[in-house]
Amino acid sequence: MTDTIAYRAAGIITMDKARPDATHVLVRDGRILAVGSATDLAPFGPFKTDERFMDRYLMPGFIEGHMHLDSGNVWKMVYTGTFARTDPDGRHWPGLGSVDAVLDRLAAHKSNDPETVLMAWGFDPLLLGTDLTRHDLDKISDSQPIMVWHASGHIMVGNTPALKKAGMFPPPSPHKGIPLGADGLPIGDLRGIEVMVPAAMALGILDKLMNHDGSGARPFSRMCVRAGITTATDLANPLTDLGLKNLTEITARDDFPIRLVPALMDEQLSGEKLVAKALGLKAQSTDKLRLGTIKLIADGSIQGFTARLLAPGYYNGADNGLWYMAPERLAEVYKLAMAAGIQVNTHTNGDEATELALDCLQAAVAANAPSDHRFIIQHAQLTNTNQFRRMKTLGACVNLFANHLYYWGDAHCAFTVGPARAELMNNCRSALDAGVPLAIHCDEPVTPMSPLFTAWCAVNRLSGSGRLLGAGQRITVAEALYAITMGAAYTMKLDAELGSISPGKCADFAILEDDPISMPPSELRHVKVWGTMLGGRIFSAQDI
Amino acid sequence: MAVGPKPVPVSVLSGYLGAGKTTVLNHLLQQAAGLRIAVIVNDFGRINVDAALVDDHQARIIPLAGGCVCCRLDGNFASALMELRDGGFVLDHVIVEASGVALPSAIGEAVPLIAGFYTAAIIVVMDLETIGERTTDRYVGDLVRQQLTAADIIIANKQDLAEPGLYDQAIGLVRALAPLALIIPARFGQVPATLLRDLSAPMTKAKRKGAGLSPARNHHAEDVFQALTWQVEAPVDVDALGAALAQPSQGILRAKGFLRDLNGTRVLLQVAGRRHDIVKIGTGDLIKSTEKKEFLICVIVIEAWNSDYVIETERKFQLTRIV
Repeated sequence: MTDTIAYRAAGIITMDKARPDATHVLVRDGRILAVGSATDLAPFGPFKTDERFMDRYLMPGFIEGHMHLDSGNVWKMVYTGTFARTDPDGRHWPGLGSVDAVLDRLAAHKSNDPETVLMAWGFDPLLLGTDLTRHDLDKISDSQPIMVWHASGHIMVGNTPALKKAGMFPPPSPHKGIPLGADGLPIGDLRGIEVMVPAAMALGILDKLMNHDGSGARPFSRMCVRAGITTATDLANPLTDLGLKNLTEITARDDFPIRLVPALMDEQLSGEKLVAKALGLKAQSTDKLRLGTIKLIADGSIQGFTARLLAPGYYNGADNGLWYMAPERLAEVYKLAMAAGIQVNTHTNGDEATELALDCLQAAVAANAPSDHRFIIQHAQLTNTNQFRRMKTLGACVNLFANHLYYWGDAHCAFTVGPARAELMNNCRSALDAGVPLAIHCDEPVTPMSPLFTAWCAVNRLSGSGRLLGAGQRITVAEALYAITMGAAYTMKLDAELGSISPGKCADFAILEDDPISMPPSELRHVKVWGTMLGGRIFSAQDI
Repeated sequence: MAVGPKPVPVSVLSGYLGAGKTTVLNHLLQQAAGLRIAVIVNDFGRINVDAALVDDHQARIIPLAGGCVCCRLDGNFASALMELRDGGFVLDHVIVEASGVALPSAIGEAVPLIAGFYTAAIIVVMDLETIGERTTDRYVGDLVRQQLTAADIIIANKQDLAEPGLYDQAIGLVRALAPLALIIPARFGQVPATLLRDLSAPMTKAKRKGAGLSPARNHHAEDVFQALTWQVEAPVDVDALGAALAQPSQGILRAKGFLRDLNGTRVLLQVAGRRHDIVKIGTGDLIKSTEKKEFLICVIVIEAWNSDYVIETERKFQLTRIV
């Protein structure tokens, strides 16, 4: 690709203060040569001018700092959630507002084959206000096993054939995770990982949902193009030999449309071995496969009541959540990784988990961490302003889960943390005010992949029911667009190459049908994505 | 469900980091001679097996001495148990080493959901020296307290390091958190040699002598368990009896007996730690094979069992001690 091409657009939002607005960008060898007006580009000639985007808007390709590559696997199941979603094939699945609608959709996908388990996901009783039972599902089929995952991920509900095949009908032993009805038989719920795993194994459905063999990369990348994403994380991958080999091959293809940043997670490895593996991976990075960052998980989720909260704890009085790692291991891995120059991502949801991560970070920094470590706290949904100030002091970045307010804001008000603290969740304003480098994310497949929608959430802070949650924590459209481009690039240490439309950087663009700057902030979510450019190569959402 | 081989007892080995869990595990394995044990661990590296075996990173199950196996925990203990079951291993006991931050109660409650296994005991290892700090730690205090509260058996480790005053204070603290648990003091993770056997073996013919009556505190690795056998005179409220026997803190570790309940139904009562389980015995071969043992309960107690409590239980349920 030695051609030099000037792309003319209706507008270019560069995210570079040296030249915030432009109409033309000059691309050669996958890199940006110049950006400005037609006149500004003239001295660089000769070049061809490509006008196919003259009615469209260019932004730096969106950078998603917290997603999961295997999200494509959930689409092997039938979607039964409350909010509309689009699958990797571009098929639109309308949201379902009632149990009857859920049952109708299941009925449309049943086969009555006793050997094939009909699996569904995304069902959310918190939002529907009503539950699904074995008896409901038996009406769909009393011969084919049906198993429906709740959106929280912590419960699944089956019909009688599914529960029988799972060995849970009747339960082999009384268990609080297998509630019984008045008839003394299971109502259908299998609650908690300890109950779901043996059931899923007996049903033979567990392996289908968890494979890190790289096969999810292609469908995942297609979803990225439709969302305007050019760089995406896979934020927890064991990176086995097979998985790494496959990802290396897939991402090397010219038609693979994203730069992929998998974060190594392997709970079986000692701190030393984990860091050694990360260093080995880092050396194997390629242009479109960026390796060497690691992921750790400190606590659970707020909507699953497994996040670790500081006082006053859960609004509904639930016990405090769970530690997923011992504080000592967290501290040890931080020290080893940071001394070796390995970037660390830590999942925290509750404010107590964030506090612990900061305590451990402080110890690691004191023990000789490099100054520009860009330690990232992921989610950090209940962060206090004092914790943001500590992040600033310690050189940490934060990636807030801004769209959570929309999908679970109402549930957070009613059940998890109550209205007062729900208004403080994912407080982007406080993060920016404290000077903490900020990214915002979706957590595909937990919430749908869409940086523009996430940006809309950070700007408007509306729950699914339209409730405004914390007006004082809203950020501007410009700040939100920065967070999904340069902000994210900075946190991921990719800002030298990506994140803005600046000379020398990669020609990675989001190509939009509408101008996100001139639209009313309330309309940001409706900006349409035409497609992307990655390293000078164009990918249309329509044809991907 | 088809009647398979006898269910295999599973012990959950729990305890916060630094309590000495791995030492206890290695000690249990050393003493396992004659028992076919499987251990499910997070990391091969810390148990005493041939380093050459451990270095094989692909291995999921590696052989140990004496017909035992070690299974690495990849993901969930349930999948490891199923793999052991379906792998054709004949086992007398499985030890699941829980991670330092796991709640052992969650594992213990879930084990019987997996066909072929039942929970024999939740064993929690604690460090007598640090338990005061651990139980009040800002981040993990609630977790450590929950672990202790779930225990059937608490290995109070590092007894040698604890000052007398500190020792009493620590034991008092643990007793308050876990009033029902059996507390076994230990040095260097040395648990009683027969602990696993007593948690595993079918006990109806067990006749083991005690090892003297000196206070349990001064014992380390000796056999501190003994067996009692009761004749049951009449149909009995089996559920109430089970609850009365599921009291490790009174010194009762396990019990098993074929009984007749108040309706005259033949049942098998099994007590393991703080759990009891009643299974109705159908007609046919099973009864023949068990007839001889009917109306007998065999109980494994620790040496320092609470005889007042046991005598009261015998009186209440009309049990006659025959051994």
